Amino acid sequence: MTTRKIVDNIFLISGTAVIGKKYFFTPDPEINNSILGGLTWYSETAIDSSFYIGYPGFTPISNGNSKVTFITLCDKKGVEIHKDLPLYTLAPEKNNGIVRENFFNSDIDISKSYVKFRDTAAPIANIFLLLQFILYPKPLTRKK
Amino acid sequence: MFRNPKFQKSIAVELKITSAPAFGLTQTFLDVPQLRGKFVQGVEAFTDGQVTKTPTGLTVIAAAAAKEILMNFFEGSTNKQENVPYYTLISSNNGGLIREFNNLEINMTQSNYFMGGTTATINHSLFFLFYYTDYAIR
Repeated sequence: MTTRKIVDNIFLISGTAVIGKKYFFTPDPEINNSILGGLTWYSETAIDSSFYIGYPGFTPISNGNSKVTFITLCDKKGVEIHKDLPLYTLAPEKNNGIVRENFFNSDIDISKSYVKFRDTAAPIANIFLLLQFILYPKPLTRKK
Repeated sequence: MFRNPKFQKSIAVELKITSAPAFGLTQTFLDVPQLRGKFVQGVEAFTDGQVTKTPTGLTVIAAAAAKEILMNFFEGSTNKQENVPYYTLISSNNGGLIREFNNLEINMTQSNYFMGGTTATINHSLFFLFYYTDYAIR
């Protein structure tokens, strides 16, 4: 049985987000050296910002702004293998508790992957995204 | 619950409504090079209840408009998934589940929507996330 691991990744935006600009993830060897099986985002509905006292001045992205946020995951060659994933679809509490963990052997490079925002009424500034990467140590094989 | 994962890659696809909504209006997708020769394993659709703007900045259709749209997904010149209600493709409206296909070699420029009313707004966009693999899977 292949052991599954969940790794937190706190994605920060300092200042006001520029619409359409790519905001790259910081390098994370644990993610890069694993196979991605799924991705989860927890909104302010699910987790109170008081848990993140280590990030003073930052707040969780609002539910409204989450609807204009997209994540693109790239592989080691920089090829976009999951392009413009809407943040909303990654939130279990917005999808009947379903966790998006049906990615098949996505071998991503997190530092080539990025987040983009579109225009919204309320500025996106000094926010964080709480993401959880569902990782496997090696590629999975599908059941027949 | 262990699932049999099959979503190797995914791509967001927009379909902008370029004519005034009316009963019988149809419109095909533009070509999506990333999906040529690939195998679509699932699709998810959205309204402004989940995504308000597409990655290119188009306004996503309102939830009320979803009920007036049927989708047709073609393989070559054959309509393989006929008159699928847009509503049923919206995961958050359907228990969070993604509608799965089995190795659909989709022809985007034949695939289309059929509109059954006038609730939608011109220049708004249908919005999808297509999940696909490079090779057919068993």
